[in-house]
Amino acid sequence: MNREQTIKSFIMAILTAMLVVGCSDDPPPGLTPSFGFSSIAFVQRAHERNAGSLLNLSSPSPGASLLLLEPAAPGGKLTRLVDLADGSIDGLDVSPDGKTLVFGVRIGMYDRYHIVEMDLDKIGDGSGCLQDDGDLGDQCRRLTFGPFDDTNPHYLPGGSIAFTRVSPDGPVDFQGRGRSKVLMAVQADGSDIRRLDYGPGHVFGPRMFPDGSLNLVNWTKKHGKATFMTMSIDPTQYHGASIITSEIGQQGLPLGISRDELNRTFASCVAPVGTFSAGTICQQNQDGVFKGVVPGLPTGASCSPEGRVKDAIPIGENKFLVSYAKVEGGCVGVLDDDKGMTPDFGIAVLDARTAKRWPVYNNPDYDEVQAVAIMAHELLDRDVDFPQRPELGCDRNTMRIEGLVGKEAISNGAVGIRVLQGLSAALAPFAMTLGGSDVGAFCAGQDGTETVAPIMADGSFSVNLPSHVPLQIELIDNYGASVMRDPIWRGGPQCSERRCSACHSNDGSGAGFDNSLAARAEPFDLAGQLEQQRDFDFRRDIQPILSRSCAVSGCHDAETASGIYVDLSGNPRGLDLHDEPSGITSVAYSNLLFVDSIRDSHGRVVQTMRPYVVPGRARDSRLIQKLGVPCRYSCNGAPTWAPWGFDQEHHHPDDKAEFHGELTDEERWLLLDWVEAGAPFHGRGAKP
Amino acid sequence: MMFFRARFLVMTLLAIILCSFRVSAQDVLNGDPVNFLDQDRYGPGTLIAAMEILASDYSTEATEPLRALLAHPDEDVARMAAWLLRSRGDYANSVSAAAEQLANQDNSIEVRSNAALSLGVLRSAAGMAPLITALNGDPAYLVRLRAAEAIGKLHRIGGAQALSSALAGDESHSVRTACARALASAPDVDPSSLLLALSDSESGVRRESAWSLGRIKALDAVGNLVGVLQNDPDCQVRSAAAWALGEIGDPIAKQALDAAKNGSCAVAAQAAAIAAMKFH
Repeated sequence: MNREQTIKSFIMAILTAMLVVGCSDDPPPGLTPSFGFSSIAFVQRAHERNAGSLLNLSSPSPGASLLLLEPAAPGGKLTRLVDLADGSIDGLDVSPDGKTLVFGVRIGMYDRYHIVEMDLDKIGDGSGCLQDDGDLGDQCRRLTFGPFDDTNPHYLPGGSIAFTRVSPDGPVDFQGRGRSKVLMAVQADGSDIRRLDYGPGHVFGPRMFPDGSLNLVNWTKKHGKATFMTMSIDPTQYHGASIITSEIGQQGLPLGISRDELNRTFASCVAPVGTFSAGTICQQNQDGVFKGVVPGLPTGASCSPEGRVKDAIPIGENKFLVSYAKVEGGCVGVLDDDKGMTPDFGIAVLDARTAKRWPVYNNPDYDEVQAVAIMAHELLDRDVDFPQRPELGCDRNTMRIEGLVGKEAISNGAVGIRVLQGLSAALAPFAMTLGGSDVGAFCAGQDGTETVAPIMADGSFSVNLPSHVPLQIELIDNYGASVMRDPIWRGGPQCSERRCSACHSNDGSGAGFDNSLAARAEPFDLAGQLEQQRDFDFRRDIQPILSRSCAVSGCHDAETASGIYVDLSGNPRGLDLHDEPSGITSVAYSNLLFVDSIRDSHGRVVQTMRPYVVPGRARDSRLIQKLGVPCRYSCNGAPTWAPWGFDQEHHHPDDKAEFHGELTDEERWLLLDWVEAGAPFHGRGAKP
Repeated sequence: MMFFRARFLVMTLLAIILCSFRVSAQDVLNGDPVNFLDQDRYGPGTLIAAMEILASDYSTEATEPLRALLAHPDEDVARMAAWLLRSRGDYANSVSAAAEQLANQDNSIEVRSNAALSLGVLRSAAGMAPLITALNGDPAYLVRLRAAEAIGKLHRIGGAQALSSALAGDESHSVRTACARALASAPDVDPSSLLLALSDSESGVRRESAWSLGRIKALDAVGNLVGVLQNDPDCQVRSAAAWALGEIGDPIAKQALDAAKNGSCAVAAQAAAIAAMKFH
């Protein structure tokens, strides 16, 4: 073979390879009616630079547009829906009926991101959504307000919208890098804003499955290590209602998890570092592991000469609407970027099976990202069942929970149902971080007095509860202490009903609620107004009791407590319950709540004493065990004093009568209720 | 013919092998990440990638090179370096290094502003004095802006007075906006400076001041915020006032919020409607 033939063969090989993985001039499949979308909307912004890390949490460059391309093909009509010289857009979704867009937008460089919804039927020529006086035009409405960065909105069943939020006063993330990016939801009219996830991590790429669950990646701490997890969240519930579906490593982070028409689970798999948050399309296998499926496009951060994709959305028949970039002679990675070889992302349709690609739109001066396919209305009117809000047509402002309590709970002494209503950080500043994670106020009836719903003789119950608020249900004993507590904060829209069988038990005894005693009676009302719910504030409710009966001379005042006994290092020790500020709480509160350690002369811990108060667990709290609790509910035949107390005969501080420190039954119950409510330091409305 | 097909396949294979070799040579950061912390040799993307690897597998040899990145002209690099050093407890030396870069007027504006940013990320009380000096006297607005943001991030007593002064008198509205934002995080904040800023000529400053008054739940601000809700020419500022009134929760504001629901600004009307729900 001569030199000319060699070169010819080499060129042919390269051309063949390009044909296998390269572009196509065929009409994009998005144009065909079988894919059912008439147009696409996407975000156009300046080329991303040195996007070294998905986790860097920095802001994109200023300047962005929201564009509509109709039809979704090269040469389609381009309409500029929003144009921002200084601001930015982060996150875009289209409603299931294709009539509205929702996106996260900040108008100026030093503004905050807010969620805005736009009516596509009213866009006209696209002008006027953002007006000079700061107002929004008729076709747009803002759903979130305040000094938050709200991005990545996504429609949920019933028309509500999930999004991610970073708040300047929100939880600090588990690594201390900044504030956590948390998952929120808001109704379409901007009401009922609430948090869906739980913990000090960050959430990325929430997407809804056809079953209504939200699926996302959560980056948080597990077993002491930073871990990425895929997570499935029931958006009708409140924080805690999530299932970890898999733990994933640093390679191939599945963002934007979606299901296709065959119920297969796909995502854009990106490496968290070094790839402009782009990677390949991967599919979840039976073991829950995401594996790359596009020939020539690797997962992870290794070089990808054939380019990378991000923001992939399945559109059927193995095709995906993607944002795609390729750098000639490069990898679409940070090493190229540092050499000035910045990738140019454009919108394309990609066949994941063959890597065949149909460019849809690209302006080489900008990146086009976050495309969504807008379904043709005529198809939707026929085929799509757009979920209705359940509360429409309902005249009841409550939700109902009913069911049968399992034998296990009954044998542990459960006689009633008490419901804790979660207090947000706005209602109870710092409460969530000081007194344990489950802090709230007890639900009460319309008259503000009833706090416990009875469990019927057959174990059945039926309770009306406030709608649209996080609720935690606990089964309590004759003394008011929780026997079992639902680990999940639940909730629901008005008029919704939830039923459990053999709640908190696997004994299978719960069949037949319809024939139960509770089913034949009126539901017990625990749906009083927020102001009537019983909340707790340590300084307002608890400290006065401690000051009168405990922190007295000779007992738990500062002076006496320091001389009660001598620990191993020779230091006098005792339980000091006096009311002096200590850090951000008080001496009494910190002495009751925090772990006490005894150290030897070398400073080594030789004994750790569990706290006097375990938030949410009165039965395990030494304070309540020592004081003892008299019977309170359904007392016929029950022991007069709680059998789980320290001493059935002698109840502290009555056993120290010389100090006149007696407690009334009501005060003992109040102390127990405070513990069960999460032992908060701050009550509702208290200033931190 | 068979010969040509075989030769074609061999050449295809060769091309792929050659391509793979080139690929592996360019793989991302193979080797010790500390070797990639040299800002004279590597760009921001590489530096950040190296630091992300160090975040999960730290080497003490990285400490010195990281301190050199505290005032890197790229803010993402500076922020990441400061966070890594803080997470390793390297406060004193890191604050000294960043403060020195911040005070040196021979440095570029980017270097000085990112040194200020790093002092905020380091969260050390020792950073307060150099930041206040920069807020009061640096000629570049970007440096003063970053200094204000950093003072807010310190969450410590001692910064509110400097922030209040700059909020009242700095010539740059971006700096004044940053001061209004940072004051909500200052434990010794005096709401009166934020109240005055509700009359600032720039809408961004007024909006941020209203938000901050809501964040600190300034009861004394209700009357002023009601005035802003009713009269401010900018709809975004009015909506911020509505949000703040909802946060403060004083029932006195309910009537004004109800009235604003029918106002001419759609965005303020929506904010007022949502804020008014908190009083039900």
